[in-house]
Amino acid sequence: MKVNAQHIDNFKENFLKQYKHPYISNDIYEKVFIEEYMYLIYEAANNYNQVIADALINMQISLNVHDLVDQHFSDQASSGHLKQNQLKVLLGDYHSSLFYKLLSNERLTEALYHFLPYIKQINEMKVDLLHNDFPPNKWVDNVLLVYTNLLKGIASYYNIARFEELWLPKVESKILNIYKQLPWFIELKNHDQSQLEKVIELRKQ
Amino acid sequence: MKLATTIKYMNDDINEIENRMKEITGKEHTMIRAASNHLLQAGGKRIRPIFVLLSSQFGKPETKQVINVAVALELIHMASLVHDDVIDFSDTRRGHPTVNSKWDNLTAMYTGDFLFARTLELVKGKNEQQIHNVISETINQVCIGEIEQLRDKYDINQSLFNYFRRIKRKTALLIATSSKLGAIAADCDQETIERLELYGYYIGMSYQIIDDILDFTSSEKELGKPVGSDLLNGNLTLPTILAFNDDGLYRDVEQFFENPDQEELAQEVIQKIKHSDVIEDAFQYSQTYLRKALQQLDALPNNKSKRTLQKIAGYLGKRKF
Repeated sequence: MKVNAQHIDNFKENFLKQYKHPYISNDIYEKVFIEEYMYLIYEAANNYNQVIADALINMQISLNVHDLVDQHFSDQASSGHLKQNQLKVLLGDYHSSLFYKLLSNERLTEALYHFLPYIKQINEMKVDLLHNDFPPNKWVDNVLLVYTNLLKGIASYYNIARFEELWLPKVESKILNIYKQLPWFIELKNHDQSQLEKVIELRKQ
Repeated sequence: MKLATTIKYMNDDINEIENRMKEITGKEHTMIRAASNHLLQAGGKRIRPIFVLLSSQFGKPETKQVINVAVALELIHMASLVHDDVIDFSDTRRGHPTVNSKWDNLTAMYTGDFLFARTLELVKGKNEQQIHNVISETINQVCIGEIEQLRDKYDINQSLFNYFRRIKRKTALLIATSSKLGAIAADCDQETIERLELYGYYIGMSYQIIDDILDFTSSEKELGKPVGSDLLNGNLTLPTILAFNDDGLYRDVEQFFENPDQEELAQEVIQKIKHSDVIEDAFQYSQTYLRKALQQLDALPNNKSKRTLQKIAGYLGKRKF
């Protein structure tokens, strides 16, 4: 099936209609629902099982929104800003609970157990990125792992043939093409942006 | 008699849970291990594992799965505390620096997320499907409750119904889930599972009401935070909602919520509530829940666990802080 912008829009609209928390403003969802990237995950899993696809998108929203929590609180921050920040913590937890609830309710505990190590690894990698100095090339490798690990989980769950060889390079290239929308390449980087961009440009080719 | 004395006979099991928690977090990724161990060192009442263990005694406890469930619930609780400290900008918990203050907010976020995922792996085993269904529904409800609590801050238009639904999600559900899961892990019959779940629910409701009363009547030293913190932070609890029968007081709170910088006004309200009849009225609500909790135990077999659950209810009724 040929994927076009309309497909992606429909996917986003349908997903948010079903799972968006009614109290949370669209602004936060706009920042975390990076359409092209989310669609990669959704499409990969939805070919096999829609509940698993929905659960994984909920998990990815949770992971993305927690990246947006302020690293430190500022005494100067307005009460509105602080409240938005608090909501990001809670919204991430809410979508992670939906991931868990969807898989439990559909008796998909085997899938749950399969994906948990991938989720743990993503969080481990994020903590490593926060606390260690990596040269720009290694930084990009690690950030790619943060953004591709759920896809790797899908590939291994469904035994997708030659994933690493055929599919992963395309996925990584797509991610590098939209890097400006991904916090670990922009706000959370611990490198000079121009250095990082050079590496990204080289890797895209 | 203190709660610690009542449950002293359970010390071996509680120590096993503590050791298992250390073992699990100790095996993990270096930085996450440091943050998790830091959390463990702060300790806690381990109230959820205690309810799991006590409930399991009404069935055929297969120790391994009962311990797994107890550990899982406590680690879920710990994961939620790490995130709560980020939400509340807390620097210390039980005298220890919080993860967000020792490291930073994002380290706290990822440690909590990691712990949550790690915890769900622990439930593998007997009756796991049923256990996952209960835990996932509870966590989802707790998350909804927390978002609603943030939404309702400084909102004067809240009813008793709002309040009871909020404390159900905030406190009672997790205690109800603890006693329910202990029973499920021990293969209890359906009626026993339901009775123990309800016991936990009523105990949790009573516990939170008392907590909300003590926020007015206790001292800053005992509370570890300023008296009246709930109101000062824009949260309406039972004593304040009951006090709204007094129009003057309602207007004072309304004025404070419109301009939360007026702390003096809030302090006056706190003093009025503290010395009014609503404290006794709120206490009666908590007593009603305690009676309901005790009634659930009536039909259960007489054993040591039942007597302990009864004593816990008695202890809660006399709780000073």
